[in-house]
Amino acid sequence: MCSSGMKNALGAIPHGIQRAEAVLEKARTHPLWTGRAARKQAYDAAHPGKYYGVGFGVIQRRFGNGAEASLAKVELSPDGRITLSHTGTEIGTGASSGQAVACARWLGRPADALDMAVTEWPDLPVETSGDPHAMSQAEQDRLAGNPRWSPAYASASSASNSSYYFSHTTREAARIVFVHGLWPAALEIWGAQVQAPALRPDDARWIDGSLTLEGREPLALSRLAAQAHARGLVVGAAVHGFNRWQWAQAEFIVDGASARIAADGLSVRYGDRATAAKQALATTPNRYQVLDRRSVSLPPTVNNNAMVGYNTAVGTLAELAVDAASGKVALLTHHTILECGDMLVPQLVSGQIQGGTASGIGLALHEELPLYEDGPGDGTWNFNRYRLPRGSDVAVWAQTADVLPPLSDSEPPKGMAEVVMIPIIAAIVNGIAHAIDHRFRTLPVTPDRVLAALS
Amino acid sequence: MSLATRPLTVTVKGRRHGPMDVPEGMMMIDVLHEVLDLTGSRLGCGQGMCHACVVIWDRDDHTSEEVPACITGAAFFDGKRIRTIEGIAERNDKGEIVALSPVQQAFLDQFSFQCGYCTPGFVNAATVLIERLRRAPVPRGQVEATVAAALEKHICRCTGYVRYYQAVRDVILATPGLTRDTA
Repeated sequence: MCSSGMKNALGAIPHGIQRAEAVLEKARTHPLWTGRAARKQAYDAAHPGKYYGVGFGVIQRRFGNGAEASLAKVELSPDGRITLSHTGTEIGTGASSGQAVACARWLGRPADALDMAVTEWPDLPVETSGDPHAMSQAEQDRLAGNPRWSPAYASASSASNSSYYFSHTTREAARIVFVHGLWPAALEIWGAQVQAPALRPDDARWIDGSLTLEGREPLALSRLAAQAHARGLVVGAAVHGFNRWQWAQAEFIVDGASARIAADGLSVRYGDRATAAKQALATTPNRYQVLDRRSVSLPPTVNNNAMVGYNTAVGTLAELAVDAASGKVALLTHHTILECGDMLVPQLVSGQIQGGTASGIGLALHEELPLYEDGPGDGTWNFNRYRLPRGSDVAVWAQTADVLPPLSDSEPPKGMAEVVMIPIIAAIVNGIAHAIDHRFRTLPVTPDRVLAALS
Repeated sequence: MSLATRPLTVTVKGRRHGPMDVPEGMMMIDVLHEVLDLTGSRLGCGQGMCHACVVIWDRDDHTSEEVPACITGAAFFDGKRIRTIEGIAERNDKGEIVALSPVQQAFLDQFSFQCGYCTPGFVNAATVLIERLRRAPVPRGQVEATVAAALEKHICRCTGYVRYYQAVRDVILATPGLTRDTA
């Protein structure tokens, strides 16, 4: 187990606390594990010809590729409607729902309108060149002198990486709108400008869609947006972010105030009633002011030497029965324990767990593609001989899951999609070993292979 | 070279199409997509295995069943009535959707799908099941097994079936007349 502070196999220390130990502790006390011996005795006695087994598997897996980038634009209409544009593409993992929800941290509710997979960004021109994985520090330093340059432009969608990497730019854009738009608007409405230096935006809270601070009148987003527009404050922000196992940071002057943000590109839009001087700064087609960063701190290229990584931990217990007559392995139930930070959309996390374990069950027991000439490369393989698991194969009604609570609400959401399909495979193979005292080292464990082992 | 054709008349969600000439041997999924411009039914495996393509065949005796459109020739449907995914939601006189069916709404509410490729097949399968239960209710204790049997043929690669099955179960349990208290 890679504990917090330990080096991974590549020699780098993964970021943050490693929670695999908590996953192991949960599994160690789960009834499926603690009662496995007694249940095996009872099951085998009650089901002649069948062998009961329980197995467990656990994994810590990195998410991200060390050069993640995206653009996000968050904009408020005068009536408080939130529009989010993002380079992220929805590939079926719920990225669009997650990004909409990510707006709520700073704007009080999810985005009302979404535009995903946006490839044209006239409101935030970003230039890139070179290979972010291979460039030298000197080359990066030289290129970073261009205030529009970043080591990478926009990442492809992969697994549920969006929950961490795409959400970062979404939240940064929303935060800019909040700090430089809604917050000063709220101070004006509250009549709190005089106390403003002693008040902190982070102390404000959204309650039922209204913003409140230290007992002050809750203000609806529509009222704040109207005020921000009327006062010509920031009502839109486009952000570019880059991550090489740490986020790029840059300093900008936003509406006259210095702002250091975890992004390397920024443009802002002012409210409809902004002064002529402000409006003159807005030069893009959608009236954004493209800001030149005053300084930038890009993640050093030395980070490429070892994949530092952000890890997610997951463990799965599998309860199964092996039929000695047919060789079939029936999954009776399974229980997954996952830690993935502060979930954006719990229903999507649950669906990813269920879908990932189903895929893992397929890889462990059903799905086989032979190598060489007769394999899938011959173009004739289809579901007639590539067996995907169906509902009856995955313990639909019996399976359970447990997601560890985040350390705090400041912990970011973490990628967890493909990782959940891995430990169920080991759990099944270990469960079979428990059931028939034979450890398979070739997957899938098909009925023929089970019968051969039993014979 | 010209393809041999044969006439086809089919009623889709109450609207009669044809007679029209379609190539002999053409599968119904291709007629839906290429001739009738009904593209909601999904071509998956083309082998009748994944059931993403199923349409609902409404028989004259008021029963209905799923038919995989990818391996069923259009000729089979000549003179028959079918429903596709486009005909499940409630529409107004202008053809605009005004209400999703209970199954569709439940799938949305419960995040049953992710990529959505298999969803039309699951919607049609669940619709056929619910209509069957309206004619022949099952004991409440058998609902989960009934749902599992009805949806077993359908393949989902994203959400692992659980949220589809739970959504259909919940619709059945919440709809009067689909279940009975005793065996």
